[in-house]
Amino acid sequence: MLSFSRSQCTSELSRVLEYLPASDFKSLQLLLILLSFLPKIILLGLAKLLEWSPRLPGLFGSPLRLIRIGLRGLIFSLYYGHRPVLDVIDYRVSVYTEDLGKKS
Amino acid sequence: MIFLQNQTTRLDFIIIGSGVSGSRIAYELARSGARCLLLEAGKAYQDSTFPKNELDSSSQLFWGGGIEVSQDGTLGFLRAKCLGGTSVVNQALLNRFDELAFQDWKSRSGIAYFSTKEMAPFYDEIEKNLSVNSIAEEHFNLNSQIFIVGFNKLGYQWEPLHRAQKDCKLEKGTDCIVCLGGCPRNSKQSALVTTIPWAKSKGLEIKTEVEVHSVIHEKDFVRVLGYGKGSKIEFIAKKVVLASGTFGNTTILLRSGYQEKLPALGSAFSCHPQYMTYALFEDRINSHKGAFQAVEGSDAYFREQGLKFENVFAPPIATAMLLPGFGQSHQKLMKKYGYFASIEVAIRDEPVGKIKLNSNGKIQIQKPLTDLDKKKAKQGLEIVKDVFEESGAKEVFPCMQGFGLHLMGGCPMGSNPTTSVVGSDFKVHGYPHMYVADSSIFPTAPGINPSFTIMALSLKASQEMLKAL
Repeated sequence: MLSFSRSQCTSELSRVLEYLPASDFKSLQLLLILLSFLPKIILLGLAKLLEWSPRLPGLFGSPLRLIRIGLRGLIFSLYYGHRPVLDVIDYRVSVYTEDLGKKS
Repeated sequence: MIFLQNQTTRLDFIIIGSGVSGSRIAYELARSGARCLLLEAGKAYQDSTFPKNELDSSSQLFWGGGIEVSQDGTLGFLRAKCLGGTSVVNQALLNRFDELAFQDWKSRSGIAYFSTKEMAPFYDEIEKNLSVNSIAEEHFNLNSQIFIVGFNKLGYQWEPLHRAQKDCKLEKGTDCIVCLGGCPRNSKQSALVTTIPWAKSKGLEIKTEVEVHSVIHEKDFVRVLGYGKGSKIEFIAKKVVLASGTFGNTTILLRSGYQEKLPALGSAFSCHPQYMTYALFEDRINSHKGAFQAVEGSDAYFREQGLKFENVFAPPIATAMLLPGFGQSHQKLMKKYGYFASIEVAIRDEPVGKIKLNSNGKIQIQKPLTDLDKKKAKQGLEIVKDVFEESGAKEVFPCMQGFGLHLMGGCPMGSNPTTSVVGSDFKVHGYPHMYVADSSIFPTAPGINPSFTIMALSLKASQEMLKAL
């Protein structure tokens, strides 16, 4: 499968961000700016920690879970909303509408 | 600056929210001759204008640009923001409540008509004009068949789901997963193709892309304040009906300053947390094709335990969110998308959630999972794992991220004004010109799909409203 950067799925970014509430957009922007300064090895460690977050308790787990949902939501929306990637996983769906005088 | 919309006639009712509750009430009131205005925060789509893919439908049809999250991040919530409300994007399941659900409500609320006998006429009336069907067995895709095989081997009961649908043309290759973003052939019997056009034909006025901020209950009328396309707006009517769901109604009333007079406002929030499990098979399953959802568990034991199982599947973005991992290992899993089956378990959670506003006036959703909730979730996921193992799955992936699609409570109904917000007449305690009738009045989680009961209660509520006119 194509890597995230090679897929060029970030071209869809405006479609994802357009409907995000302003306060969520600002939080996401700040998070991405902070992450952009981190070396790859730290990012990898953070990604592994985020995967543990559903099991982590209270005060420590909550912000990690929110970050996990936010990042996964953005990344997977862009990547798995991108037609070339959907073709690789063979996701093709349609609804029959020819009886209604419309192309399916 | 308040801009009063051109309102030359005094309205009888303003209905806030256009889902199955608001639209049903609007229809019943309008056809009885009441002058009504329906306000909806989302846009008006129709069969030909629904977003054409998951990326666009996720961001355009839901509040929060796709998902809202509990304060501690354990639960995500999907709440539709479009004309027709959640009925446009849900799976159109219709189930009557049983005596177990109603008796729980009766004992908690003190409301006498919470019984299957008392509510039956309202369900019957709703069902007269709705096409309710099950998916025929010949159209059970492999995902459904896997569910059935596993259930049969374990000796569990199952039955077809009842859905408000007609003429889906499955025999012509329709893939129903598309209708999670709105049904392009109007087969799903959402409010958009039933009660809303019915109400419009009786004179209902509708304004979309209007977000209500607050309501002011005056002596003889109610003011509704909000924003529409960048401008402040104000409408006035004799009565207002809050039908914008648990989050919508609660935040409107909180912003309006009613917390002090309504100490139970924001309480009793529950959501039937749903946990999906994916299972990988050797052969191609194509769970996304055809009728992606067809059957449910019907074992009395599950009902007693507060567990509900349904076969289901999700489009790629949602599936990616649910599967564990990241990077290349996650990609490898997603590449096998066509080889997955899925079952969801929904738990009947305890109504301990709270809806509040933070210091910026933004909604704050507190939905802790009690020890009992966690026990149910664990039990449900173990049963699903057993079902998949009996069905021959190679590998099973339970998803620990729960989602709440049935948002209930926040304005619970009851006879005691200190522990409830709405009385048996659907009026907000102490505010005779304000009504609430949707799932926000639920005193507890019923453990059954709420849609049909929301419709039935809304029909009953409309009769109360007409009495008061």
